[in-house]
Amino acid sequence: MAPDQRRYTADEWREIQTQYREQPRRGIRTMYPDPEDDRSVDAFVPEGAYSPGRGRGAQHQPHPHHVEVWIATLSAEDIAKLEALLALRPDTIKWVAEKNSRELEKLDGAVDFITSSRTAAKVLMYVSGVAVAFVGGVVALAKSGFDAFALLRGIGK
Amino acid sequence: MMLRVLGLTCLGLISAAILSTAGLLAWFAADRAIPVEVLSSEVLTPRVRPGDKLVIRQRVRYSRICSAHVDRVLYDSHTRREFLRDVDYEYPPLGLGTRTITFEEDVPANFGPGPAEYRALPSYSCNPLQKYYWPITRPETVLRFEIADDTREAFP
Repeated sequence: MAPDQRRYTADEWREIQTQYREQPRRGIRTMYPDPEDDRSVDAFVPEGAYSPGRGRGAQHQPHPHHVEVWIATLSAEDIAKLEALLALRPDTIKWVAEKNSRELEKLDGAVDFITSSRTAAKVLMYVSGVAVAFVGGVVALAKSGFDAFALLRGIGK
Repeated sequence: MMLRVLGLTCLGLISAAILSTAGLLAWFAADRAIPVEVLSSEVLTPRVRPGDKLVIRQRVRYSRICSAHVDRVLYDSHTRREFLRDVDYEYPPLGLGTRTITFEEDVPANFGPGPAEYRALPSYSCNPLQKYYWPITRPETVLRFEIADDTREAFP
C-alpha cells in the first residue's frame, strides 16, 4: 500500500469528522463573527477576568452513580432528619464534637439506662395495676359472699 | 449485656414479689367461711335471781382450725351492763367436730328485775390478714332470760 493510500488512523479520522461537523458553523461564524470569540479585547482585560468560552463550555456534569442513587432513595423523612441535623444549634454541635469516644460510650450507657428504666417503670406499673385490680376484685367478691378460690380450697378438704 | 440480664432479673423478681404478695393477700381476703357454727343455744336457768348463776348450754360445730375472740355482755332492763370475761382461744379447745358446751356466768347483784339479755359477738381469724385487719364476724348471739324480782337480795 502506497503511503498516500494508507488508512487513516483513529485520531486522524476523528479530526476529519470534527472538521466536517464544524464546517457549516465555521461558515456562519465567518459571516457573523461572535464577539465572544474576538480575542482583540485580551489586551484590555486583566488575566483571569474573562474566559472566551464563558457560558458555553460549562455543560452539566452528571453526578457519580452512587450520589444519584443516594439522592433518589432519600425519603421525605430522611430529608426531615437531615434538616433537623442541619438545624442543630451551633452550641449543640460544639458540645457533641467535643466529646471523645469514651464520653460518648458513657452517654450511650446513660441513654440505655434511661430507656431500660422507663421500660422497667412501665412493666412495674402494669404489674401493680394487675395486682391491685385482682385483689380489689377478690375483696369485692368476698364482701358479696363469694370465695374466689373456693375450688382451690375444696381440694384440700 | 450482663447489666441488662441483671436488670431484667431484678425486674422479674420485683414483679414476682408484687404478684405473689397480691395473690397471698387475695387468698387471705377471700377466705370468709365462718369456722364455728352455733347449732342451738338454750338458757338452762330462764329465771335467775341477781347474784346467782346464769347457765347456758350451746351446741357448736367447729369446722375449721381458727382462733376466736368473743365479746360477751349482760344487759338488764334497767340500762345496766356487765362485761363478761372474753372467750379467747387460738385453736378449738376440743378440736374439730360438734360439741355441746355448758357454761355459767354470774349475774351481778345490782341487776334489776325484768327481762335481760346475754349477748355474745364473736370474731374469728383464720389467717394473718383476719387477725390484724379484717376478722370474720357474724351476727351476735342473743339469749334472753328473766331476772327474778328478788329485791331483798338485789338491794339489801
